[in-house]
Amino acid sequence: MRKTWVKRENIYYKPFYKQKSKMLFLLIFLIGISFITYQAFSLNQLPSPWNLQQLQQLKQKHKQMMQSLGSKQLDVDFFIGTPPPQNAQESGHADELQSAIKIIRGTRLFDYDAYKPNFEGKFKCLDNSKEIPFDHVNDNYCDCETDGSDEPGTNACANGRFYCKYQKRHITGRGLDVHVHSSRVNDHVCDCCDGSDEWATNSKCLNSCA
Amino acid sequence: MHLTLGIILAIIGSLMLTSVTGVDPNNFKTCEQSSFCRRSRKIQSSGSKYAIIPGTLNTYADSLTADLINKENHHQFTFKLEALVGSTFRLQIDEKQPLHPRYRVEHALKEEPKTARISVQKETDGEITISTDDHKNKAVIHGDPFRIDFYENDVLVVTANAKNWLYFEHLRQKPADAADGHADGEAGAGNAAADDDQQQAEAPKSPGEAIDDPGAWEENFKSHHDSKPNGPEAVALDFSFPEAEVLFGIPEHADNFVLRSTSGTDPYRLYNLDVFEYIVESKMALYGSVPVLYGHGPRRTAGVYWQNVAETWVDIYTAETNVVSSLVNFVSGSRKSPSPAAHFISESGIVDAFIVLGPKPIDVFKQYAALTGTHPLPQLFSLGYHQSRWNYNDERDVASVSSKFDEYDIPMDTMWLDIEYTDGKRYFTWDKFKFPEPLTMVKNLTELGRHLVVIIDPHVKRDTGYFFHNDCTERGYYVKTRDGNDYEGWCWPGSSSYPDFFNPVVRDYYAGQYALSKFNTVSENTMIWNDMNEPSVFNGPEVTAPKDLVHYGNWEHRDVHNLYGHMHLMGTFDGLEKRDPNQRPFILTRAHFAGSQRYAAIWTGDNTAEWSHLQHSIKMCLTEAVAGFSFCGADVGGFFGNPDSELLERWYQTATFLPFFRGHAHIDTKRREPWLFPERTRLVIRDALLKRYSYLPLWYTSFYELELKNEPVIRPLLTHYPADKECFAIDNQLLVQDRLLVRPVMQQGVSKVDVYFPAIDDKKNGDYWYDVDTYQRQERAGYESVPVTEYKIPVWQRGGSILPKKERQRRASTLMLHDPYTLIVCLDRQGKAEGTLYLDDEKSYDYRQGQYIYVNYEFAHNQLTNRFIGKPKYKSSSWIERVVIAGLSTVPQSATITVNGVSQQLEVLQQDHAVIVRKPGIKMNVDFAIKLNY
Repeated sequence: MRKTWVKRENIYYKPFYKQKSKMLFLLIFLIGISFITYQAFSLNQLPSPWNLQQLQQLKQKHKQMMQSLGSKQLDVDFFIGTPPPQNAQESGHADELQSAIKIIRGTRLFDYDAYKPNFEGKFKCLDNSKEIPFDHVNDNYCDCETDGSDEPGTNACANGRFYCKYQKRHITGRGLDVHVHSSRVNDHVCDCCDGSDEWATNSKCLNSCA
Repeated sequence: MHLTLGIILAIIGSLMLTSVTGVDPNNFKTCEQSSFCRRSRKIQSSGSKYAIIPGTLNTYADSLTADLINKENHHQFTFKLEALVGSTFRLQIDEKQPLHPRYRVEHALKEEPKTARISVQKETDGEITISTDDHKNKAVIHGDPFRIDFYENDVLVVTANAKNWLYFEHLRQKPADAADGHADGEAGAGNAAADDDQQQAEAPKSPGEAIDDPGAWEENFKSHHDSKPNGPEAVALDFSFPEAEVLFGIPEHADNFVLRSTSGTDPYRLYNLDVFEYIVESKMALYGSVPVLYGHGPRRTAGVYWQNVAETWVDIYTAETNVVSSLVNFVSGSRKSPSPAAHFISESGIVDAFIVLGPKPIDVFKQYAALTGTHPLPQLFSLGYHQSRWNYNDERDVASVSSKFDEYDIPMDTMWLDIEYTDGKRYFTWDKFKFPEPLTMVKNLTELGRHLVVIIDPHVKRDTGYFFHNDCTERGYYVKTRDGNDYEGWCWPGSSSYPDFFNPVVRDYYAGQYALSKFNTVSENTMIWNDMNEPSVFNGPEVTAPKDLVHYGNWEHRDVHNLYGHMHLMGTFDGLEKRDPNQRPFILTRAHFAGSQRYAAIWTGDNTAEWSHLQHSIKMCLTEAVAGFSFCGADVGGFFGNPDSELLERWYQTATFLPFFRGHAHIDTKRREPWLFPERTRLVIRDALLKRYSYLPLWYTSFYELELKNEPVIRPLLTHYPADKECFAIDNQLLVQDRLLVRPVMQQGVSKVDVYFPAIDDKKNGDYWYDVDTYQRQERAGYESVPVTEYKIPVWQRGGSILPKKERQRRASTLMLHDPYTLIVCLDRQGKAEGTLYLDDEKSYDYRQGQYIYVNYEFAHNQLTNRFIGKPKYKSSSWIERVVIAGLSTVPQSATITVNGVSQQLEVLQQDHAVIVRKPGIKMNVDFAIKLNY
């Protein structure tokens, strides 16, 4: 078997900068570097993890926020599976409440994480149009005018949705999102099959969920 | 030659084609074809000679009487001039000794007007001056020729009989000759002199006058014969308005707001008629007649209400203001052209005129409303959106339309059923196949907060299996023919008869039919639509009842025609009030007369899906509004024909700012519910409807103030800008109270509209006007070209006003009861604003027991405060969710609300050209102050 070697002078050398794959890797590398640098610089915007006192305060604040969330009974729903306490406000133990999975009234499980206050106690409208104090969620005043996401449980926003409490969910949490227009919330007409849209009126809704 | 012939033929052909699309005017009389109009109009060339008989003058505490004589035939009349409370005079002229009594109108006035004391100022030989006790108003009665000048604060504003066109045909015996029946012949009046003698012999005190007219004693029109047993009995009188530049009023006509001169054309006609496919820019009579006319000039406004329910024609004399005439005036140095004048001509009855003296436009509207009343505060739902069609076919159809509105999240309050719901057009019954369970259908609607309105027409099917017909026949409740039989006409059910609503017993019986024990297939929340009550008779003369029918009290239909619909409404209103005494009735009517506004809302009848009809919806409703009918609207989309999507969008937008808002269509048209159009159209309509619903608190407050203060809800611009001559004739814009200026887009394919912003003084200064969508401010008076998109309804809020809104969306207005309010504060040049809000339970009569909240908001010195008018007794769970303030020069940092001495900080947000005070959260019955912090 004979090897044939190509003559050296016939080989065409590509210059380095014309080798696409190498340039691509270099680009990615540079982007990576700049991203890490950016992250490093923006680190000091985060609360310093070494300042324990400050961290403690923040944790405290966050806890309070979560508790106030729990104590705002009207705004909080109990996830199916956990029987709701008879009167959460009187029993009043935040720890007890925290053991139940709470979702904000009128939201769906899918958005569970979105409806949590961030470390600054803020809520970001689901369309990212603005950031509002978490207190303003479900406070019966529309702040996220563009998508109505801060008022899932009231009729304050024109274009919002109310997700009924009863959701025909698969065990994985997927399924149809059963919702009604915000305009149907507390209008004395039962729209959700479980009547959960009439949570502040004394309408006698029959449970017709099958 | 052939070519020209061809062109002529083509022109004729095209003329015929265009005439097919509208009403055939030949089906309706012209003045020339109407004997009394022809006769009375003749007086305009010769003039008449009436004078007060010296020595017959008597003055009383509140009135003055005298005898009048016609100096040509020496017939005597009595005349009475009464002063009424509210700068009003009432003038009545009747025969001194009529052959038999002449008809005097009943039920049109709200109540017997209160008289005011007068005193005689001056009495000379030929004239007497009386004035009211406050010396504001004065009347000067001239003896020969008879004339009355009315003064408001020593300015002459109205003259009665200025042109000597008073014309009063006294009742007389029928001359033997005319009895032969030469209705259209020349012989009828041939032996006039002989008749004269004969009559004088029979009735020496009422000397006859030859009526030289072939139609005096009988009249034919098309195939119809009018027997006229009472002969000629017309009355006519002219009124001049020396201070006026424009005349307006006398609805209902599909014409401009400002009345046009009738020289060379027919007069405006007032005769309730069912006009098939009526045309616009026409002086033809339509469904309603409101004989009130106003004369308006920059300094003074005055009006005349001609109370006569017989057929009436009104001649209008206005100076034709064109370049030539003004040039002539300028050159000749004449200060003014002759005063605008109106000549009222009625077929029978007496002269009964109310002269309202103003001085400002809003004053005359209020003075007129004080006489004939206003629409009482309606239930809130009736100000929402009504969905109608001839016809929603069956129960499933109704349910599906209602649920489609929900599916597309479009608010809607009321479903309507036209005639096809009945069992063979027998009213008070249901078609058992299409509507087997009407009560369930009503209940399903009620559960969604919605209402049902069903039609009940006055004609009764002549069917021996129909209880209503049997009752009326047995008890003699029908209108009679001359020979005493029940009159039979042709209408929707076929052969029909017409209950005589002038008879109080018949009205009672009719009202009783609405009781839930009788009409038990509807609920107490089902409201009523009274149509065809002119009355419409398909085979009658001019599609209505013959004039020689006989009504209760032996009055001829001729004497009472224009009041028939009104009497029908009285029965319906009474029935609904008795059915549920604590619920405000809602009735829609087509026929109407002065005073019908106390019972029902009106719409402009069977219009057409054309841009010109859209434009006339505003013109007609403005005229109706100043004549007492604020609750007015037009069929959205047009009754006849199919609107394209652009016309439909613009029509919904226009109707958003008219008080009565109903989509309706003819049975032969395509379905036109919003979702049957492209998505854009649906969204535009939804947007307009949401806007309507957001302004419901303003509409509701306006209607309360209509009842409280007699002030129209919608108004022409001249109401609040009386000195701005430019706005006199503007009838494509309207004001909602004095708070909103509306200029809907009513032309096809435009990207901008010209808007006129009225001036408040000679230097062209105007109010500030804020665009309601962007709060952009308009500071100059005059015309402005405004760009529009398909979504835009050009509306401005006046700087200096505060208005209430409810910006939360619901599927029906009844479900908005507990929703919070938004206050929109638009500042004037001084940084101030003011406005009212009224609220109650929106349904019952409890507000008349004080169960309401009526509050005035005031903004001054960076502070918003409220002041309750009367005690805020109504318990409302509503609250104020935001206050929008437009016109601040700098954005405040925050706001402080103080309630009962306790203060709290509020957030202030910025939006467009306005700032928003976020969530004051105060209940409606609490005193508060919101201060802006800088």
